[in-house]
Amino acid sequence: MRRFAWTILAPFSVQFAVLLAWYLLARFELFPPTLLIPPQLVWQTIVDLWNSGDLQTHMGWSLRRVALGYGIGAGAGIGLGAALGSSRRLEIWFGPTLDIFKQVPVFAWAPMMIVFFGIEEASKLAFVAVACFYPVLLNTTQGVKSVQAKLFEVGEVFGLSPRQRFLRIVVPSALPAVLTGLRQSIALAWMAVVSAELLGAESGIGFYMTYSRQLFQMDGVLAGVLLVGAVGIATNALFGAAERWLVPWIGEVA
Amino acid sequence: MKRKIAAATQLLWTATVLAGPVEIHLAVVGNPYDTPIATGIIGYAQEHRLFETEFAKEGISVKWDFYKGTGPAINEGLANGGVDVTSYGDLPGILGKAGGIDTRLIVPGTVGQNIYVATAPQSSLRTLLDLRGKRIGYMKGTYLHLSWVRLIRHLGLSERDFKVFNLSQTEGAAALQSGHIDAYVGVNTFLDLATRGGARILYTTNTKDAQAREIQGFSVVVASSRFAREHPDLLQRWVNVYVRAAVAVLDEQKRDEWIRLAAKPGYPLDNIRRDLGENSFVEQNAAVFDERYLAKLRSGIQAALEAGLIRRDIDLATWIDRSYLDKALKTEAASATWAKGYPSVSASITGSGGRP
Repeated sequence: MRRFAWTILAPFSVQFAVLLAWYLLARFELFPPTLLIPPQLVWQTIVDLWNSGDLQTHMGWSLRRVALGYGIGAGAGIGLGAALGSSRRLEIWFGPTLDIFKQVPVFAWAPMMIVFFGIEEASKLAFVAVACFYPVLLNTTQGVKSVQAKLFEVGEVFGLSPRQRFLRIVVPSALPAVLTGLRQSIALAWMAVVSAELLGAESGIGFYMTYSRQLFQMDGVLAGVLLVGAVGIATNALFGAAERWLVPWIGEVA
Repeated sequence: MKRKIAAATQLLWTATVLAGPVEIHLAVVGNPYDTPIATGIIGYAQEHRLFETEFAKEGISVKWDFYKGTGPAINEGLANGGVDVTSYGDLPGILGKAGGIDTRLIVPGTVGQNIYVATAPQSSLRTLLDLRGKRIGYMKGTYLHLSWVRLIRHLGLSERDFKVFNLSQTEGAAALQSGHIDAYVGVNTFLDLATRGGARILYTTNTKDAQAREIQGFSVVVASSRFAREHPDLLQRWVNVYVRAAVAVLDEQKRDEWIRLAAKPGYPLDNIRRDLGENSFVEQNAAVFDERYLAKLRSGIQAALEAGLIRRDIDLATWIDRSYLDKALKTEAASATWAKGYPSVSASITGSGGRP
């Protein structure tokens, strides 16, 4: 019981320590007070943002971009990953090319995205989608490939149709790996949307942070950091719960 | 307790400053050509190495930092102690001061900075009102931003009436030509782009119209208060050199010299000539806190407040510190025509910027 209490409290104690350090650094002006705004003022900024409705607007746009970009990128990753994982021939044909593009950091795609998709929604979605694509692709390919041969033999004995083989053998075996990929991607999606909005946007949390920086309102920048972090924690928790529900036999995957 | 720790850090800071060789960090707004070349009065001083010569005797060096991120980036430099003196745009100066950066406005900069609202050459947009709801690019936090906000306010519009994209001059020109934005609010480089057929100027403040002149940008020369406290003598000599450079170059006979200096970073000469038009560069750059400059400063702060760019007013009486300039004008500029009648031409500085 005591150990259980600690596992709950430990992360909070570190978070509290960080908050306290921030407070003290600001309180005694060990950093320029115009750059490191005290936590209570940043909180006030968040409250003001909420009351003015700006927080909801910006967060809404960012979440929308994450949802769509993630849907496209992760969907493509699952589809292509399943194909590559189940067909040796497809992997020989497409594997190396996908490997080459994998080496390109997401940020390096930004100029291309703007050239091809403009600076409005499409390029942001594409940016998020590319960021999400690879972790899902790699994990799915691996998950599907590593389905044990003996399971297929058992399936044959039971006389399963290809459809049944897929649903009863491939999906449950590959699911933990796919979920790991999906979970890695959602974190990347969130990072990507913030960077995409830094490049050229008129809405979203990333935009709000750049705008605050241009106007030298550092409380806004720090508020953005906190909000991005909070959403990150929330989505991670959500995925953890989904994993426990979908693949309870694995335990914590990531 | 708070004071003690702050004092201790201050002491430590001062000790390190005194121990090392003194360097004066002069921040300059970067240009679209990425050349380390300043323009105007400071550009003249740079070309003739006036600051370097002044401080060389004591082994003090002058470090010129060109900020590609222009005014907003210079504010960050000021806040973290990396900038001692700078000359930058009206809005960054106002944003920095209102945002709590401890600066002193020591010399008025230039007035009459034009903005050019450009569209693609084939665009069907003809008037400013046509731009409503369209995609507009400009660099936020710069003088262009403030002038734009003031311009659209005359039309009863605000930034929310447009889709705004934060783009630099180069990015803006590219986005305009590739059709990703409908208009860009830029500097005089768009004159040249228009001549070459790459853009069309839909609106400019470069006219004789009184309203256009009202919204033209200006600049401020500020010192960090820390530098002023630690090295008042160095700051005084810096201002002396500035005024000396102003005396040397602010002469209507030297118009060509001024235009050449303004174009030196890489701007086409013709741009600069057309940008200046028939205006008097001597009047625009006179280093005196006259009523015209103060009026621009007050209305600029007022406009920034109304547009929600700053959240609190600026007390001009505490921001402007004219002591350095007053001394420098006495010793350096006795003969300059633009300083004639000084100090009687200098208006009194009182009260807040926003609410006169």
